Amino acid sequence: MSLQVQGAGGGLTADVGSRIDVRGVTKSFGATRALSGVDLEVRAGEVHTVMGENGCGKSTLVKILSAVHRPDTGTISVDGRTVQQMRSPSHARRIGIATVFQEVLTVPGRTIFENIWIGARTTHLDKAERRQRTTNILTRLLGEPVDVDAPIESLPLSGRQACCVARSLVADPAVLILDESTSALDVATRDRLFEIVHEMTGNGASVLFISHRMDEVFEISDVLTVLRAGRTVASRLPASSTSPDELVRHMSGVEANAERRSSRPAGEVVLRASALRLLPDGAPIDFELRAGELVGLAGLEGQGQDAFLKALRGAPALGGGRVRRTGECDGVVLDKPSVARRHGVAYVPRERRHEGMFEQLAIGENFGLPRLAQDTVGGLIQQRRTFRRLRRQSEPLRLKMGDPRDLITTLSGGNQQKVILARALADVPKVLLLNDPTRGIDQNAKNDLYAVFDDLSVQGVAVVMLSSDVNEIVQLVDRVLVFRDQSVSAELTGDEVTRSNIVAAYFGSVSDGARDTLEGTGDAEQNLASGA
Amino acid sequence: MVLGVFVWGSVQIDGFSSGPSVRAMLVIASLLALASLGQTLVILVGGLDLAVPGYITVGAVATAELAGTKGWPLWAVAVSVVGVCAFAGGVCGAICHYLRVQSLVVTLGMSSVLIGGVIVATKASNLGVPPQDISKWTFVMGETLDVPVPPVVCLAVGVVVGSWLFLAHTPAGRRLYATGANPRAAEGILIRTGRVWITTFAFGAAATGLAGMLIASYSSGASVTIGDPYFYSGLAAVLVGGTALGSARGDFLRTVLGALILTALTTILSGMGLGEGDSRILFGLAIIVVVLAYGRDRRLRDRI
Repeated sequence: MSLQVQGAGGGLTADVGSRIDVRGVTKSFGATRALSGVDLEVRAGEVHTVMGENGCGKSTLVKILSAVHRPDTGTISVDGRTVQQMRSPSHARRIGIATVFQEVLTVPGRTIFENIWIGARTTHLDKAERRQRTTNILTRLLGEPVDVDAPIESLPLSGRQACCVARSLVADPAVLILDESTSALDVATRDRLFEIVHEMTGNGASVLFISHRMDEVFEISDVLTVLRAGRTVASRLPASSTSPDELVRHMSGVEANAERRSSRPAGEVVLRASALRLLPDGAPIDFELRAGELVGLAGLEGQGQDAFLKALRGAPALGGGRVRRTGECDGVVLDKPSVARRHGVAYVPRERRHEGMFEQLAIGENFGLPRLAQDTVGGLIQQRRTFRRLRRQSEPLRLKMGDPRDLITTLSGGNQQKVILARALADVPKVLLLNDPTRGIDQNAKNDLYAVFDDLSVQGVAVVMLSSDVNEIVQLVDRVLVFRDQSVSAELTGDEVTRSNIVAAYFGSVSDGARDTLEGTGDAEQNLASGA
Repeated sequence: MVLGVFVWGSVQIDGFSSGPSVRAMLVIASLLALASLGQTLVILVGGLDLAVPGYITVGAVATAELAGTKGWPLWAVAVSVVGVCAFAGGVCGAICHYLRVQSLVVTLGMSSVLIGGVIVATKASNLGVPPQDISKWTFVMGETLDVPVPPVVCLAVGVVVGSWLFLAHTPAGRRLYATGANPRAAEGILIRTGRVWITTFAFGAAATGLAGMLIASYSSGASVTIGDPYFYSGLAAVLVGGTALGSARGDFLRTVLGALILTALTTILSGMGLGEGDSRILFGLAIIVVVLAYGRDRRLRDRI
């Protein structure tokens, strides 16, 4: 069947075999033009990846295909139906399009089973069948049986995101859209999801995949489409004959630069952790951080790196231990985040939306909040002072924004993250703690941040960066601590900081032979942790 | 929208736009708005205050009994009302924040405690009449510094300016918005969100108690149910004004505009021969319509 209905701007007939056919679609939100002319053809049985920087229109395109938004002009055919005929996301789902978003959208206080079937309208399945289907899919995704009646909070972040994926899979969709939804999955769950994806496409389903991670993209994709500034700039590139550099050129017009930065001599010790135990019976961790050092924290999800980073910020570790700010601060104990901040320790949180930004507030307000006293005269905040500070901080970060009075949500994800980083840097920290700062932002924004971190270390700031992207750890850091079982399983320095060494440390003691095999077969790429 | 309602009223009802009529509506809207200042702040910080009737009753009964019957000076009554209400509000804020209990539940309980306390204290006897000193604040034909505007209206205008300065231009106001918008992120940048909740609930309760004193003077008396209509109408004014539940968007000016719209609509409906029941239906419908309109951009189901 191939039914074709026109959008406001005219119509083209969908090709036979096209599952999704998008032609010349435009979409504006007020004065902002999100899509200026997007073409996309997804065929049955393929994994089709859409790439592009934040703000290029990927999310808008996904929302149009999920019937959250409607296009202004252009034509969209999905298996012969048009989005104009789909009135709501639930309607899109009924006709076979299921979308998993980057955000982990679960309902607290409900069970895993309820979370998976929330919003579903499956009258043809009784509860026993739905339970069976839930158990089967979750077992495949999580690699072990799960009590589906347990509260959703009993699962870690990766497990909760797996539930979001399962919510789409139980509908047995003809088109599965994964919109950066792998960023919150740990590596093992992600690999199991990819197996399911291969199986689905083998059975004729289509998968529209969006990710900022090159390793994932080349691992799973059949074809690639690149968007830039709301337009399609490259269409249906075969993944097997396209290089990462070529893809980056399409996305940004800039050559990829993945060279490892050269190490610089470190200064005095500025932070010292002694006998830090992340669990009451955990192994003690001793750690020294020197001025100008850039240290990476890596590991599979939930292995302790997150708790360690927060302990450095003054949050008490479960098993005790002390963190001291040494050097000019004369060994003051950092037992609270407020004490740490007073002594030059700044922290950038992981989940931008939940922990970092205030969506209802303007860009300037988001930036100025922690240092209101500095901008206050006679009891009243002088907005100009805030804006002046913001502009000063935004230049090195290459933060692109219009009026600082605009809501922060008018910025792309990368620029939102830069506002949050600018807010932390406004404290002029001596120690900067970054919790996965480049998660979910585009490559250009990542490169901007890498340059900033590098500059900071040159200026003598000690930087600790937890990252779920092994590439950036290899590229950036002087030293990396790899976590496993709530402890440091390996500390790699200088030339030891390689992908294979980090991956080997993720999985415990891997022999040299096995390590070589991993690297040689490319499995190392597959096993790169997503952390999250 | 306010202008539209007034134009409609002028066309529908003779004398709607006459001086005395406008003054009366301004006095009622001012009282409604002042009684809703606390609710506005509590909603902005992420809660909902069902203890409003309790605070109003405390303020109103204290004015009638302590000032009217026992002859206490008004300042002493005001200090007592502020003390009792602020303490009760602060307790609500602390319980909600530290014990993670819904503000709906805690404030409902507190309202019952306050009204019960008033009944016990007054032994449910006949209450006195507020003294003349406070009644002149709410005279419809009253003047402020020889200007023919009732003092309570000028007070409401002053509170609008003050609250605007506070919310938009002071660090405390900014922290209040931040706490309401994203408490987790607020704690992340070391805002003491517990302190923000306690002070907001306490300040809101004290302001509502003081509004209760004015309400008693306008009503020339007090009863233990005097606060009930101001809770429902006040919440409607906050929501119709555009301060949405759980959104940390809005301010007191919007509440004043909501109060003006609802007061004018009530006057129009009364003029058209409709009674209190119809007014309540109107408030209910207004809340539903507005919540539907404001809630559209927050629908999670669009993503599921």
